[in-house]
Amino acid sequence: MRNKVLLIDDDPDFIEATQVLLEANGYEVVNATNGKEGFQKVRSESPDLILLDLMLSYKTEGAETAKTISQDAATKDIPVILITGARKGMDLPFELKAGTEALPVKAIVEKPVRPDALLKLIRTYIVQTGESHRRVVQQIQTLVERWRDKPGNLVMILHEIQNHYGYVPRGISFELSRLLGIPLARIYEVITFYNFFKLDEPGKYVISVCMGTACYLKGAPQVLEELKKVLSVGEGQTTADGLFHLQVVRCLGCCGLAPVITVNEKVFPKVRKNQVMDIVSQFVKKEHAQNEKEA
Amino acid sequence: MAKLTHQSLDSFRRELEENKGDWIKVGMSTCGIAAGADEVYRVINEEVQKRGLAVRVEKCGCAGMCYAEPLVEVCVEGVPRSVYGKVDKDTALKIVDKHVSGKRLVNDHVFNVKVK
Amino acid sequence: MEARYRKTLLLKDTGALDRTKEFFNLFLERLREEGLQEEVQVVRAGDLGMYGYGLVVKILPDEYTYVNVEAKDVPKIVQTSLKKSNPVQDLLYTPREKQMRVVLKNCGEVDPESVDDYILHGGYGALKKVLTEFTPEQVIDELKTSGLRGRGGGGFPTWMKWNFARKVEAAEKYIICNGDEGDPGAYMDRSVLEGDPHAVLEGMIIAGYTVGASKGFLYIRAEYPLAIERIQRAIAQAQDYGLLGGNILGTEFQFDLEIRLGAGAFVCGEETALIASVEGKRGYPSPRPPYPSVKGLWGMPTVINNVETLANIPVIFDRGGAWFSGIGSQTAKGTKVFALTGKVKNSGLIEVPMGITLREIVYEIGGGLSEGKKLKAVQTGGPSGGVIPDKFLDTPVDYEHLMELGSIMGSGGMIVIDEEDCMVDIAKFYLNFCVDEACGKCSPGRIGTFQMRNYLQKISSGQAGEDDLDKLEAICRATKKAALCGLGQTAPNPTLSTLRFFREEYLEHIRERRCRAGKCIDLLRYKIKQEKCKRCGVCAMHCPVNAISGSREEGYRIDVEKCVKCGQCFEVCKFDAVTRE
Repeated sequence: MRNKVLLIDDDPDFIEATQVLLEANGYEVVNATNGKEGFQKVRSESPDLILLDLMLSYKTEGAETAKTISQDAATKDIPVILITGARKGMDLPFELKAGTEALPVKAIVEKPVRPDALLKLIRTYIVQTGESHRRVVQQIQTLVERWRDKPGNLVMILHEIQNHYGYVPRGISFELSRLLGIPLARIYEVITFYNFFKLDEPGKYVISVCMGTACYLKGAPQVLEELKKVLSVGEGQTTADGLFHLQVVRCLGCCGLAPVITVNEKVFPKVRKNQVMDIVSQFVKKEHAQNEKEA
Repeated sequence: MAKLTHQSLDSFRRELEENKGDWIKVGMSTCGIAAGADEVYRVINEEVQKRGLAVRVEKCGCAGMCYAEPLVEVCVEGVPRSVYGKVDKDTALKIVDKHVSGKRLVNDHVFNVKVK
Repeated sequence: MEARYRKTLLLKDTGALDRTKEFFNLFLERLREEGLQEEVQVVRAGDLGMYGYGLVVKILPDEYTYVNVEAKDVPKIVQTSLKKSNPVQDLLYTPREKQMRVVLKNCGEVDPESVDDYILHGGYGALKKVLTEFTPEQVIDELKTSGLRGRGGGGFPTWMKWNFARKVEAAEKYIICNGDEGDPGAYMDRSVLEGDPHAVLEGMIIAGYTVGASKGFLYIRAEYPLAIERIQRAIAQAQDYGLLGGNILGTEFQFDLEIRLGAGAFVCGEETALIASVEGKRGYPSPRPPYPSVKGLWGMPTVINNVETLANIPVIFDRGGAWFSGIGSQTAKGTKVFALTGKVKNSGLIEVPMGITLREIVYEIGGGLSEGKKLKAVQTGGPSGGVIPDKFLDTPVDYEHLMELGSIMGSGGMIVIDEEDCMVDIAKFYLNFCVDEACGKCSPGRIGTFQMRNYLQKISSGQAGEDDLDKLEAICRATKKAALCGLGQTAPNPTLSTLRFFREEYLEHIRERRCRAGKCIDLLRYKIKQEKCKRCGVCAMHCPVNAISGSREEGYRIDVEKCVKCGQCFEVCKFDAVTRE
């Protein structure tokens, strides 16, 4: 199910641009242009997260709306991210700082907003609260119940979480720590020890280049270099559009087919440097076709 | 399934032996699948069903000859039991058509024959 | 059903020229002349597992194999072996089977998703025999007779491991199957888990009965999803059939199994680290003793065996320990599965009796090197092993002989290295692996490997002096002595072994700043040979850093200072005018 974001801003250009960005990244977007309408929508739409402009019809309308949201029992748990224009010389009656009594918001972002930074913030807060949060808690609860009596369960639980999300989101680790009754540090200690667990969301298509000895000898380093060039990312990085994540793995166990790369589940055997572009574009095309179909 | 006991294990095995007829096995380990074994498995299954042949299509593990994947082994009464290597979709169809139905081996892909 | 053909003739040219089609027609013609075309099928084989024997002919069902067949032999073969059923004596060849399938006997044979198929092939017969005819003491004795040693690398006698755990009094004992196959270039365990999961289960159940454990864990790499899926299914089927759980096969014995997943940490292949990981913690190794057989998982006696070791158990009890000890060499019994890869023609999984020579493996099973390249060395034991140069190819493969040459049997990776590979580069590859995978608990493992890698980097970039070799060796020796776990202690092996056998290559890098294999990029020099250059300018167009200057009239030159050695010019030149040295 898609997460819902409510966008409250009086600038139609900003609304349009942000809406396109969020929808492209799988969010459902509703919007409002002033505080009053905004608060009504908070109640009627029950979004998972709110993006709120500070200066609406007057310069503190956003702050007041945030307060209203935080004082209503039904809406107080929904995370709010405040967006603001020029920071200096605004002469505000309160300090521009997140999480204060005057500004009960999770974070403050300045315009112009960098898309990747905004998306990252949304991802950080959306899992911790909101409607989807309750679903997540429930899922984690069932998961934990299933494993609770088995000693040494932590690694297995983390595997299931990563299987579901593609990584281990921070908010979920918090929840897990609460449910298992173990310190968060214990969980992070394990996550960071094992290469397999990821802390950031990987791209939609994870390209793994096998660096087993056989693949190494048969040209995997050249294939990796070409992938870096084609995707313009380094090892362990995700492309700006979030489509591809490039990683190096230790032996996929297909040494007879060396060099091997995999894209998600699909295995490409005996890859030559000049095939890299074809393989990548295969997935780009697939993605385009899908987008067109949806549009 | 009733639980097996040490008394019933052997009779259960004999029962299985009696029901064993002709079969085709496709090597479906990671290396086989990487080389395209899942499509071969699908094609053979479809073709066998389409023709209504009395032959079982099964998966099996890696026979070790990674360089020759995908591997298909065929055991049909009246034809030497054969392992085919580097099988693609077309060869898979030929195997069903020639080997299973026509009782003759397919050229250029036999990697091993077993007499037993 | 009636066979369509009375005989089958398979043929394949195994020599340098492929005359398969030519002979195919010769045989067809001859058969037609004899009126046998409806009785004999002639088949062009894809590969007959024999190399360098000229044209090979196999005749079924008589199982005659003829080698080095010439055109003049065709009528004789047709007359003697096809019309009648007699062998042509002077062409006859009895192929000596180099491989021997004990562990892999079911891989490629049994449907790994069906317990019925495993039982049909004799599966769980060993378990029945053990539960009804053997006391735990007798199991130990039989294992002792078999001479089975651990296949994970160390080669510790399996019966001793089991016996230690059996003798300790404890409230609970555990059996763990180590399926954390982390060596780059090895995939034997994956194939066994994917191809014959029930054999591993059967081995574990027998181990449980012997030591008195009621619980076991299969620790499998998360990178092997298919193996996990098949083991999961096998466990469910075995529970369903009463082969796991309470009252196994109607006896008093109870035992159950669960899967635990690895998460991409090489160190977890080490048994104490693996135990920590099964306990849900960081996979840090701990000092031994106490050994896991005495104090292991949750402080209880624990037997940890590798996948291949466990897959050997059922067949030992099926056919007897004495039969098993009849295979192999003096000190190493049974067979070993290797993942033969690298620059060999036929990469794949092979199983050979212990004591076979490397030469037999590479040339007779692997079909030699690809594209007529020359063999330089064979690497065994992955990041814990070493290289064996070509002059030692006749060494028998067993624990002791490989150890003498500074390598180890390891879990079964066997990588063929040819002259296009640089030994310094290979040592660096393994050290990079060790640096990445060092868990960080002990300083020799953490800092020693890092410093070794730095020296190798220095050598491969042409900035090292000869005294650096001594320093490198000193660090190697220190790490070997002082590291906490087996992985740290063996991390210097690839470096030490390449230094021992290929010192001249290291010296070339240092003294002449030259890498003969052309692998160490920093030492490469690209040059344009003026006499070959056609002045097309393609190289200059492709150079990403504008290091090639000149014009169609004057010719082109590479500015060594600017050149980043990307090799673009070398690749795009159609006239081989760009040289790399």
